[in-house]
Parts: sequence; C-alpha cells; structure tokens
Amino acid sequence: MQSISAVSEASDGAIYEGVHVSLVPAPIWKRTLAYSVDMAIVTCVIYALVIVAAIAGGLSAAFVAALIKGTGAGKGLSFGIIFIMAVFLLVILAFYHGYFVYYESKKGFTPGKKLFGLQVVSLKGSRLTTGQCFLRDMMRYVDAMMILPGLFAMLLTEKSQRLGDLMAGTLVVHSQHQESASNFLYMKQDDYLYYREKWNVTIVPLDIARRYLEFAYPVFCQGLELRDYNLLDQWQQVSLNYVHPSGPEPIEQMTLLTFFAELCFQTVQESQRRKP
Amino acid sequence: MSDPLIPPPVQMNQTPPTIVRTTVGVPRANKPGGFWRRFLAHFVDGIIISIALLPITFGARIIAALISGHQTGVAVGVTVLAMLIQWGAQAIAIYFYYGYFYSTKGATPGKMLLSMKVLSSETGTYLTYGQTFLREFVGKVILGALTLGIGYIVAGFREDKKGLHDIVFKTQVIVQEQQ
Repeated sequence: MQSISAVSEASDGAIYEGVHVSLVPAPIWKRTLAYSVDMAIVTCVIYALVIVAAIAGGLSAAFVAALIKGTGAGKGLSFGIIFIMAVFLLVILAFYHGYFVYYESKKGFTPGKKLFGLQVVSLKGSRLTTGQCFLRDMMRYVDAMMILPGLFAMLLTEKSQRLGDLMAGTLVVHSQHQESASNFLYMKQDDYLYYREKWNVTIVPLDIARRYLEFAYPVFCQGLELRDYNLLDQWQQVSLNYVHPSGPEPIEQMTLLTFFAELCFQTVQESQRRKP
Repeated sequence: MSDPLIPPPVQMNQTPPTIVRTTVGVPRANKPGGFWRRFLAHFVDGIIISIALLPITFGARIIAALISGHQTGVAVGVTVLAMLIQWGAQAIAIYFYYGYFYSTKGATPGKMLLSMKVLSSETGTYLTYGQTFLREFVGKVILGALTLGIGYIVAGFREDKKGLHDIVFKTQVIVQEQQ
C-alpha cells in the first residue's frame, strides 16, 4: 500500500504539545514579500488618514484664520498648518511603528508575515518582549540605509538575521505548516492530517479526483442544493476504494465525503504545482 | 479499464466500515466575495504591484524626458514608447504576480488578508497561469476598460457576486471561514 504525500508535511518543524514549532530561518524573498504586504496595508491606512487630515486641516485652518482677523491672520494660518502637518507626520510614524511592534509583540507575526508562514522568535529561549520588538523595529532605519546593510547581514549571517535581529536577539522563522494552513478548502489542515493518518489512504487517480471535485465543489464548498441524494452514496462507494478506514467505530458519511473532497483537492493541486 | 464508479468487490478479510448518515459534519457553505471586500483587496494588490513597478515606470519616464529634450516630435514618439513599455511591464507583472499566487495559494496577498479565494467554478480548483492571465488581463484590464468599469459593478448586484471577468472566464470568488 503506497502512502501519498498530498501536502508537504511539516517536516521543517517539530510538534510540542500540539503546537507546530519551526526553527528554519525564513528565506529572504518571503520576508521581502511579507514586508511589502505590510507596507501595502500601512499605505492604505495612511491614504485614508491623508484624506481625513486634508479635510480636517483645511477646516481648522479656515477656522483659525477666521478667529485671528487682521494683521496676525497670515502668521496664525501658517502656524496652524505647520502644526497640523507636524501632528499628522507624528501620527503616521506612530502608526507605522505601532503596527509592527503591536503585532510582533502580541502574536509574533504581522498580517503580512502570517500569509507567508513567518514568525519572529526570540533567541533567548523566552517569549518576545515588547522591548525586543521595539528595538528591531527601530533598526529598520539602519537596515534600509543607502547600501542596504540589512540585506548583507541577512546574506552573511548563518541564521539570516538582519541588523535589527542581531541587536534584539531575534530570528524570523518559516513554518510550512503555518503557511499551508490557508490552502485547505473543505476541512481544517489539522483535521485533514489527523484523518489522513488515522485512515489508510491510497493514491487517488487524477481523473477521478477531478470528477469528484466537479461534484463536490458546488455542494460542499458553495453550499448549493443537492438534487440527487443517491449521488452521495455512489461517491461514498468510490471514496472507499481509496480511503480505508479501519476500526469498529462508525464513520459519519459527511466527514468521509468532505475528507475525500479535500484529498482530491490536494491531489489535483499537487499535480498542478509540479507542472512548470 | 473498468468504470471507476463501479466499486471493486469487497475483500472478505477486511470488515467494511460502518458508515452512518447524519447531518453532523456538513461543511458550512462559503459565501461569494462581495464587491467592497474585493475592492479593498484589489487596492492592496495594486499598491504592491505599483511598488514593484516603480523603478520601471519612473525610469522609463525619466529616460524618455532625457532623450527627447526640447524636440516636440521626438518627445511624442518617445513618450508613446515609454507608455508601451510601461503597459508591457504591467502585463508581465500581472502574469507572474497573479499567476503565482492564484495557482499556488488561490489568492493574492490582498485577497488572503481578507480571507478570500479565487476558484474555477467549473472544476473547483485553483486557476492556472493561463486562466489567471485571461481573467486578470483580458477580463479586467481590457474588458473592464471597454465596458467603462461596468463589468466590475455587475459583481455588486448579482447573487453569486460574479463580475464580467468572472462570468466570461468561469471563475468564482469565495470568502473562506477563518481558520
């Protein structure tokens, strides 16, 4: 009986008390992409802030000008505008740094890092402290200076750390398990891996996988109404050719069929991924 | 080869599993992705692509300006050429960015942030590079321009939230439950 490798297993990490832990340094291109996603989010919010600030700034400048009529008007107006600009700049900077420090200290990853399965961990063996996050965040300015010392540091150090990581004693790791969590359509990744281990599974031929997906996608993914309930029994019979549950406890039909759908989905995706 | 739908005979040494029919374990349906959600995702993707293309757009314009100098005829020609280069770069960027993310993860970063996925509504799988290019470039850039953006707005009013590019190239955007 051949076993299949529909998903690349979490071979890069170990499981401690049900939590996948990885200590593989993250590849640079993934970190770059994650950072650009984060910057896109920050930029979106800053765009919104610019619009609000332009309206509020214009109104308040007009208000100030109306208050100080006469000789001081021009001076007061320009002072008001400079004041608003300064406050606005501070708000943008606070948001930019607050975003990274908040997410990294609270969860260990920003939304962008989460998409690519990256996580910041401390090399000291304890939880990340807010101080460490703040330090590595502030070092971004040094890392992004003219000749990109951060890039060279990442290329040269063994654990692919930039200067901010070296200063704060942190490391960015990549976990395949975390990254592929969003690639599961019909069940959660952990459930899928659990059933795949529990039930003996053999390779599903591609044509059958595709035919089953054509049936399963509207019913299980989009939730469209099923016309012919006999099809469920028919596909159950088919699925038992490739999934061999053993043991006395009864199995729910829906669990079997959704698991088979996920298995077919992963099989088809894997075959498409191998193609150039 | 025999019809795959006909099961092989049950092996006698193996007891067949008991299977019960219950409504437990029925997967919840994924809703189609709505207009504003997709708009926001598109915004994020647009920023990422524009950051990536910044050197090319900027460089092409600067070089065009340097070459043309004060001659009007040359300036027009070179500017048109620079714009063509920009469009070409945009098409290539769309092909690789959307193609890579749609075929491996089913969603671009913008869509992933808002937990959406693009699937082929015929086969229920992720799109391939070719399908992605048809949907993103032919469907969105060309058809979208030809229909003055009405192709996008259609998505807001349909029950399955399909825009013109989804209808023509048979794709569907779904909102995935948080995992």
